[in-house]
Amino acid sequence: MVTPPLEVTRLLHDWRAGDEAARDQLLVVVYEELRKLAANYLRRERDNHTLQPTALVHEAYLQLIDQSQIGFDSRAHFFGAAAHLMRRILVDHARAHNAEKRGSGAERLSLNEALGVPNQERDVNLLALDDALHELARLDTQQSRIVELRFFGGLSIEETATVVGVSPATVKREWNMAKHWLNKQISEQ
Amino acid sequence: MTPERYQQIKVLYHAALERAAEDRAPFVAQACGDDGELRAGVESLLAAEFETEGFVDSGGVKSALPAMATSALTESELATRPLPATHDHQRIGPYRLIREIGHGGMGAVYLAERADREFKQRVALKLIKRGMDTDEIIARFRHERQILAALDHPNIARLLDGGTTADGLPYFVMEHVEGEPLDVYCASHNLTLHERLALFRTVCGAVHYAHQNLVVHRDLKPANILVTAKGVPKLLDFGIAKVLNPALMSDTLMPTATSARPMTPAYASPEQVRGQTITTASDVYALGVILYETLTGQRPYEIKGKELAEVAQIVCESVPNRPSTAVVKSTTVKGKSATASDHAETTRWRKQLAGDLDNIVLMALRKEPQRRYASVEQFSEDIRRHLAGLPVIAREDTFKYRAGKFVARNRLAVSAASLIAALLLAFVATTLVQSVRIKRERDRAERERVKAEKVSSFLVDLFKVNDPDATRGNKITAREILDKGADKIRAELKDQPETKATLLHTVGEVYYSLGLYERSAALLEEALQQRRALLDNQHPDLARTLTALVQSIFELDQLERAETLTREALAIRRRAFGNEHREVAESLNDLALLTKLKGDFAAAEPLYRETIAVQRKLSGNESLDVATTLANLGVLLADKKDFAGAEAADREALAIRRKVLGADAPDVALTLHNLASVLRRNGDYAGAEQTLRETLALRRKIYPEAHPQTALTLHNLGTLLRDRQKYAEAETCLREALAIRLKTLPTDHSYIGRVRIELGRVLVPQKNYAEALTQFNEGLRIAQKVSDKTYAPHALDGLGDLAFAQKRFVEAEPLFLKSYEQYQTLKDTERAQAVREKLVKLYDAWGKPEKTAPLNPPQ
Repeated sequence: MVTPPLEVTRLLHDWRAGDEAARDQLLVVVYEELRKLAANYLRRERDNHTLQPTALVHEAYLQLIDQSQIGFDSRAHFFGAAAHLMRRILVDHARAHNAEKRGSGAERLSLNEALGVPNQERDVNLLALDDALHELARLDTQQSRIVELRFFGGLSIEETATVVGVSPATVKREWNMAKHWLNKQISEQ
Repeated sequence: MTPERYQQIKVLYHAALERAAEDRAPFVAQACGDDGELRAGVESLLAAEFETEGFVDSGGVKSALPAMATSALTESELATRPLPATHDHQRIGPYRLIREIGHGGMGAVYLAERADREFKQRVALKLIKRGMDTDEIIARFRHERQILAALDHPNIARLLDGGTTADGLPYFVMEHVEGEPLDVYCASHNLTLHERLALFRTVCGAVHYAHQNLVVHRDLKPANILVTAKGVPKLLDFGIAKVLNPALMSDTLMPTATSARPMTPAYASPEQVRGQTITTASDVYALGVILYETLTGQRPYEIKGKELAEVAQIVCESVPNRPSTAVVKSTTVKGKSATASDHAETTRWRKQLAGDLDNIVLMALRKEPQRRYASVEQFSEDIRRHLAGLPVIAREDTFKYRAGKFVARNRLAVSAASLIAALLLAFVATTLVQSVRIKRERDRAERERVKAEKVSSFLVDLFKVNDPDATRGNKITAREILDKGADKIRAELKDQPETKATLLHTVGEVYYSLGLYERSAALLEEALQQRRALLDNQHPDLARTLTALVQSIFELDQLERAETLTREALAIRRRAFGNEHREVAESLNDLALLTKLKGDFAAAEPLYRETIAVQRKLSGNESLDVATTLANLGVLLADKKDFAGAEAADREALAIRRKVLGADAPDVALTLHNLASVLRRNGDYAGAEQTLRETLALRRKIYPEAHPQTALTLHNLGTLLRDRQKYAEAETCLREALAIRLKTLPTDHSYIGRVRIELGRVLVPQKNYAEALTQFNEGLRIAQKVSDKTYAPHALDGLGDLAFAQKRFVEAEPLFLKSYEQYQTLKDTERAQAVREKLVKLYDAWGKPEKTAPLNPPQ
């Protein structure tokens, strides 16, 4: 599926302007692109690799969107959508992978950096993170959304604030607490 | 856990974080009472917080890697050891060993080359000795390899490969760098201070790059920074410290305490020594030690040959000497004997270090990670600022504690010194002039002269503190001089109340100039008290102190008291100077402004007019004072809806300012802007458009891009053009205004909501309904969130227009009704009337004219 940047850019504009159909169309395109990139990446790196999902999201952005046409707001919304898709792709991949080589443990993702946990040398099990995020979404939807955007989308504090519609200071505070809570949750599993 | 419980934890957690670390536990205990589960929830989060405090999380996802440090394989620390049996055949993996470069606690380092390649790349191969936890190292290495191999920077030696030998010993292969360690290079090339700082900044660039890639070095030291013959620094062993097993210790360290962590003690930060979390801040610290050494030839602490416990105590508790006092002879190689010219050189060197550089180095060396530079980049930037002669972030430590919030405004501190000097001159001059003028009263003149001398010598004394000889090279900021000065005035001038009052007044004015209004007000209150006690209640000095105090409390929003004090000052001045005097005009203008702010427009106008009359008599028709008062009068008259009068006042102010300041002055733009508003409100839309275009052109010319003033002009021009039905151009203006606002303000700022609503209102007539909807909704959300009461009905009105334009009458009706109601509440009859007319049209188009009847006309 070849979708020229201008087309996707227009979809993004339309979505921002309130067109929900454009959103669905956009998500399909982005999902495809992300899946393709992720598949390449995962094939290339065989064992025990460190994934950098945010790099993939940025790559997808560069490929799909005509940057000259896009403002800060739209950019943030693109990453917002992409972050969620990226999470799905990675989790799906981890599940499939696990099923393939049962007993070998889940996909390892170097989350400690992104989650800012300095003192624990540890790879975070992606599925465990996903579970914990589901639990967090039940307790505090906004926090789970912020983690998704920051971690899977690689959004900065400011960009996250734009997407969620709160101040950067709030994002910082919520992200800070969510990080600690998730780490605790995962380490207790 | 329930969501409710999570929210409870959240509230307490955030509230606890607002408190100082030591207050948190008692606060949580008290707030939770006997709810043990709640308390445990909050405390576990706080514990995590405590562990991570100080590491970098500045916006992005740059954080620190896990802790672990060891001094490993650098030549300077190697001790003789037998080589491992493995290298008998001079081959390891695909590499052929050429010669040993060094060896030590961790193993040996060889110069090697790849044996299976056509063209031979020389590499450094580090072979880890037997007895280390090989499996663990290999596992860690695998984990880190990708990150480390991805570090691609001209000043970082690349990690090329790694593996295990045939008999299971781990090895690393790195880019081979030929060069001298940083300290040796600086000495042998006799680098100047400037060259050393430039070289150091290059090193910082590399470390910052690694931090951005989530790699902390953990073992920075001069021996790990080689400088090539071309003067290019290369950092070795990035991330290697983490890979190597923490159980291993370098031989020079810690022969006894097996539980402690390995490190290179001379460069280890307090957190490293204590075995706490290592973060990017630890690298900042190590760089601080390196800079200290590079600039002074000394290390901050003398710890050679000391036991670890002692080292820990020194590193965690003692305060290093300032680099400027520590410098011995940094331009010469250690050990060479000093000559007389060396001595002169050293003195010059010291002077260069004193002040900024002392503060910069010591800021990097602070004990608490979170009080160091937030990043290596910031550290490096501060050095650049110093080199460029700009104010630096670093401040002397104790000073920062005292004047925390002032530190951010460091620019002020620089200008303050010259300001004090100017005030000192002005003070001496006016006092002497006064003493001449009143020389008929001989006694008094003599007293004034003596007082003036005392005051000036006192101020001069204060400045002596800033003389390097008096403070052994420690530069002091203007703010410190002021704080010291205020204390000194109170303590030392008890017996000279007149001098004391004068000085309190002067220092109070200086604080005002620095924007420190509370400090200023406190000193001026003291001065006022003193002067009321000393002087008769008609003395002009009393009026001066009153006026100065009014300025400060005006900034603190104490408007009522400001008015009372201004009336008192005005009365004193009229009696002392008659009506035609500069100081009378000053008080009149103050009083006019305060009266206007109170909402008493009728009383304010004659006060302004009287001010202008006095100013004209004193300084002619073309003085800036007259222009300022005219501009104030213009605003007042516009508020009174006397638009013709306002236009006349603005035009005269404009002419004066153009003549005196030139056509491109910011004040000219301001006057144009005000004039345009008046013209618009008076219905002269063509004139307003022309004037606004002029304002915009001027502001674009004099302000940097994306300036808030430019955004304001664009906003006003956009709405005016919309009123004139020039929609496309209006849209362009408003979009640019929005872009600037988004760059300079938080997303939910009322101004952003306002621009969005205005933008929606130009999109509707252009039939861009989809975006209009988004902009209105977003604008309405912000207006409601920040209680922007005037713009919420605009948004509703706009949404009504949008629905009406699409013939969605059912949707449009309640929107118009709600905005109609809100305009009426705001007593904005003009807009309410406009909405009412739209409703009439709506009902007409809808075929329900009967609905019009119950609409009350706006009151």
